[in-house]
Amino acid sequence: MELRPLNVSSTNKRKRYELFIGPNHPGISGNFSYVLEMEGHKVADVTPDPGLLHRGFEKLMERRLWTQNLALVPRICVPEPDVNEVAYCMAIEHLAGIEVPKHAQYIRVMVLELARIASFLFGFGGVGGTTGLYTAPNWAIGDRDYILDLFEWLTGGRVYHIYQYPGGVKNDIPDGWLEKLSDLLDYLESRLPEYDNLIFRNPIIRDRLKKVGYLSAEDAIENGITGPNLRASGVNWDIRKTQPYLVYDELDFEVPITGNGDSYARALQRRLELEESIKILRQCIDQIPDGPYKVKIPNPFEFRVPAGSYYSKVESSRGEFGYYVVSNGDVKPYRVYIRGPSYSSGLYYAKKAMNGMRIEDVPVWIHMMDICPPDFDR
Amino acid sequence: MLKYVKTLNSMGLKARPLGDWEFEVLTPKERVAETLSYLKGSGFETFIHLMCVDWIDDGEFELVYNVESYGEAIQALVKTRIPREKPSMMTMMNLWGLCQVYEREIHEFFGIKFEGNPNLEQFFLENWMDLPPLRKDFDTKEFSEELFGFKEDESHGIKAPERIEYK
Repeated sequence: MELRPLNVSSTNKRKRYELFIGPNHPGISGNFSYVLEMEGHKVADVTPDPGLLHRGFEKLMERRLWTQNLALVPRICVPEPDVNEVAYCMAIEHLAGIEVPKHAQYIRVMVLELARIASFLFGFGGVGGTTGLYTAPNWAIGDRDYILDLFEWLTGGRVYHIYQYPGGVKNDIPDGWLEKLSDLLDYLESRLPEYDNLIFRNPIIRDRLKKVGYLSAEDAIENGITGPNLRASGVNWDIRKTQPYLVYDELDFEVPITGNGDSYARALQRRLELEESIKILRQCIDQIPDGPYKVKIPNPFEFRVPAGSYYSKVESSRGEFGYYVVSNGDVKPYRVYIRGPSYSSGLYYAKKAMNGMRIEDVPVWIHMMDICPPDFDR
Repeated sequence: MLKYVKTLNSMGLKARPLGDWEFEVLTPKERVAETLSYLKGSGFETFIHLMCVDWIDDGEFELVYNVESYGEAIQALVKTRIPREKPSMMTMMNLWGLCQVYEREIHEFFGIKFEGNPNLEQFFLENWMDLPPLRKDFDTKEFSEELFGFKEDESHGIKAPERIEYK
């Protein structure tokens, strides 16, 4: 008896059927669903179905005071909430003409980079989770918890910090925090070779991720893909370098470019950027100047931001995270628009990318592109 | 950046810098496609976002197209205003296919019709019959009272704390 060729159905009839990935599925990254039109084991068409997580943040923010919104914005993104707070505060400060002290800017950079590392570790969990390498999520989520411990000490909150404030941050760094941070960085660095052996040198992971979901540089630019995914396609673009905000222009770091454009390149890109984030944090510990941690803003109940509009943005672990803030001079924002980095890839580019993809590669693609449903369900 | 501001001003549009890497262009509705295709041709190849502001007192919607040039590290905000009554706008899908999803979202939340966009069906909401919810005249409190039938004091015996009006 002869074996039939791999992945060919025994009947000639190709049946089309509908398959839901999400909202309750281990392969999806949140409360979101892709409705796949399947032809055998291959995807023929994709319909993204967002809205399961929509909480009307943009509408809610119009009803609250400028400072009240600070408790709301981190909820928009769970893996990396601090980018929301910083981008929102930066927009207010630009409109109101508030100059943030150097000390506070360094604290902000440290918070951002720590959140970035935490988000990358979360992403390592995604690599393992979608390929069946369950050691990776256990290690990565465990290591992320050490970062959350530091956040708890600094801000009082583990996941949502509500720590930024127009004009600076809410509290100064506690005594001994920087030493603990330094210890943690040593620990994280000592773990990197282990992650390399477990994930990135693992032949099974390489075979599973390579050549999956190839994205060329032109397509990435055309489809509004930003951040590590863009750099994994070979475009040298990092907002921290090209349009530096806070004190990134005083820090010495490199932007790694993997450039192969497949899922493995995207995973490796995050691993290399994690190392650079550790480098940035080390410099912050050495360079942080003394000084005030905030400038006082007037009574928050009477705090009016001058009329105008501004788009502020932050390089998050998934790409360009932007806040377009419109003020009409009132105590509340007139309109706030949030540009999540995976909006374009998750809702639009997914249709092109998944066409013809095999079913087992779909979760891999979702996690390596770092599709985060809160980016579109705001 | 200044050279783009200058060129756009010489084209009869109002352009001015907003920050170190950001400038805005105010265009009439009919010249949006022309402005965007000029910008795309000069290196602004990435479409960042399309958003809408409801200026209810002026009776206008403002649409903001945000495009970015990686080569020169600058961002352009192309702004246009359209009347609030029976709002419609032409689609920019021929420039960036990505506009499809942004336009669909704005159609859902503001009720602006984008001519030429093939799919403006409901996206985030389900069976929504009310006013588009991000419009300024949509009252969230009234809507939830009507939908959930919640009345303070009477049926539940709950007294909600008095609302503080910050003015």
